Amino acid sequence: MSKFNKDSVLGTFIVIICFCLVCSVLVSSAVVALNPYKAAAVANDRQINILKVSGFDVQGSVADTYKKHIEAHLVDVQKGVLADEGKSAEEIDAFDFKSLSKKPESSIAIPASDDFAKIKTISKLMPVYFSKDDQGNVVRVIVPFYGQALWSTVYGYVAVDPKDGNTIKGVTFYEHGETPGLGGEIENPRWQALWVDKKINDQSGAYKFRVTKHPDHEGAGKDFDIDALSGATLTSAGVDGFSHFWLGKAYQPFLQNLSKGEILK
Amino acid sequence: MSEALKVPSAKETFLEPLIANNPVMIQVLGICSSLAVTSNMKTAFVMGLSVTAVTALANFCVSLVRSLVPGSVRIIAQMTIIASLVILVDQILRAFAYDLSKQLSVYVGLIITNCIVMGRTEGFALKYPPIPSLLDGLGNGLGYLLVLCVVGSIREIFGSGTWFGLTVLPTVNNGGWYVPCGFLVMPPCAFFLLGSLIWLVKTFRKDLQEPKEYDTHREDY
Amino acid sequence: MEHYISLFIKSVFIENMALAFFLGMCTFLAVSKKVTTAAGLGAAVIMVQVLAVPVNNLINTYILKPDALIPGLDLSFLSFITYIGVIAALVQVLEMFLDKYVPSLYAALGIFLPLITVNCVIFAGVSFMVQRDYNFAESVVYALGSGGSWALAIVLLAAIREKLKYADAPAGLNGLPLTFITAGLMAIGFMSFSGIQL
Repeated sequence: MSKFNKDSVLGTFIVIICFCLVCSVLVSSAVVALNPYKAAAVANDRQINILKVSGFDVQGSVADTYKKHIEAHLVDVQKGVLADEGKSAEEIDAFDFKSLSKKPESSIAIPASDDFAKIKTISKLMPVYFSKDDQGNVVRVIVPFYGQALWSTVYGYVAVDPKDGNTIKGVTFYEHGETPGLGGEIENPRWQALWVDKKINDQSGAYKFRVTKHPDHEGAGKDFDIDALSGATLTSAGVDGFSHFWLGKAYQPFLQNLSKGEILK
Repeated sequence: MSEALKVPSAKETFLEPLIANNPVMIQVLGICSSLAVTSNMKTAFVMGLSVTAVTALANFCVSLVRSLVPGSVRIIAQMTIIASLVILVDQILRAFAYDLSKQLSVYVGLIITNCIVMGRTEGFALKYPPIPSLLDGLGNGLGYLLVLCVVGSIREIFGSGTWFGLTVLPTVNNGGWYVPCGFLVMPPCAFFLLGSLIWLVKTFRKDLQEPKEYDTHREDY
Repeated sequence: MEHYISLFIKSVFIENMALAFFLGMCTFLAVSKKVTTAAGLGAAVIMVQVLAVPVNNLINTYILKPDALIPGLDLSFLSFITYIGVIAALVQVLEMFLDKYVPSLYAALGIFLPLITVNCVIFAGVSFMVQRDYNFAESVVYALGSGGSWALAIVLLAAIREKLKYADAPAGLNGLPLTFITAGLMAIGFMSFSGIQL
């Protein structure tokens, strides 16, 4: 047997090919082995965040509480009606509106004049989550909302009172890349608590909710104004913008149907 | 020829890079990520651990195959090993620490181009046997972790009043008394802190001071 | 068109690779002693960036994305290894090409070209492009902008350092720590761009 010469062209090729094979087998098997855990981690993260605004504390495991209190549906954004047909419960629960909003066949383009969230397109269908008490009455309706802030796209959930489709019951932000301590304060529970019981529209149905540096705490604006975060003008402006878009525009048909009692029969 | 080379003792390989030859402060490697992820301890700590794991294992693997790899493709071969390890770390983080992996985002991937890893495999693992290489990788990774933790602690405690997310100084926003120094959580602050740290080290280590009229001895990277 | 111009401005000033994201720091601090070398390295980075980001964009769209190659196949976990491989290969090819056809430029760039493989600006440019889902045209503009942003930053820093070497700083502060602090001040300067609304 001739001696193996690792520095010859052939030798180099053989070594590198073996190398690539070993590495790819290792990496692929690790990825396949970890996949169930990854999926579980993603689902768990979503469930925790939805439960935060559902009004129910986690009792026992997150998955159990979620199963007991939360019911997922899809809503046709333009028509404002539920559109669950032909989808399995798992599909609806983990509905990936993020990637669907990028595909032409499953998305709607937003006219530039309405695009306060600076996201250009949204998915035709969006998930909504009904939060139910022990008797099965829907006490909150939770919708996802997102948009561009200072550095990043901020994702969150907002809970609305199903009786009037107009009162905010809770908010949380689960993904963002804002500066910690400044814009990152959107995570602060104390700030999120300010959102509770604020109204989206006034009596006449005009959009009034805002996040502003000059909130009106006593007068006409006290039901609609939230303090902007100090030191984070642009993050606050971003949150104000995408709240305006989602609550004031995109979800309006759905919220109106909700208040008329056409969604929950 | 590697037999003739004197293998440094285990203690030396492990302890040297912790303080005396710290990769960040003395060798000035791996600065990028040490600036970007230190605004709070959690990300800094996880990033430090990830880099430690990758450096140690990459050193070990490269050292194992060092006699097999042809010289002409050694950089690519090292890259392949490092990239595979980084993918592993990334996947593990996503599976078991999803929240943190969201915060670290692209910086986990950037471990591939972290010069500490490449610098150690190229500078140490290619010459020495696996066990000392493993220790050397561990030492360098921990040296990096140490600096990250120091910078991260200062920034988080004084910038947000917390440490590892636990309240240390109750901030005004949360009903306490401490007005956090917003400047500390801003990214440029990491430059000042790291600059001051190196300044401190150099004040005591006269041998490391750079001579006045710019000589190029720090082109060692 | 307007969209591309704003993307370009944004990637050069607001999201400056070196001064807002702190990427490519090792080279940024080590090779910024003279304006001429800094400019050479900057040019090389722009060149590689403009090649690497669009190429990786194509690979990502047509091979790695879930369902891109065969429905049901998700290769996105191979992303890091593919990107770094493509970058390393591109740098090699560019080096050979320049050596053969533009020797003057090759001589000028010298040792910087191979160094660029491990410069995280390129890798981060690719990662950001993927994370933000840029299309092909956007990725070209982004590559130009992000490469340019880094080149701009390193040339500026080098210009300051050329003056700084005459400054009388304390012995321990001299050299590297001083550079760190200079870079920090520059980064604060660049933060003011973040107020631009595009």
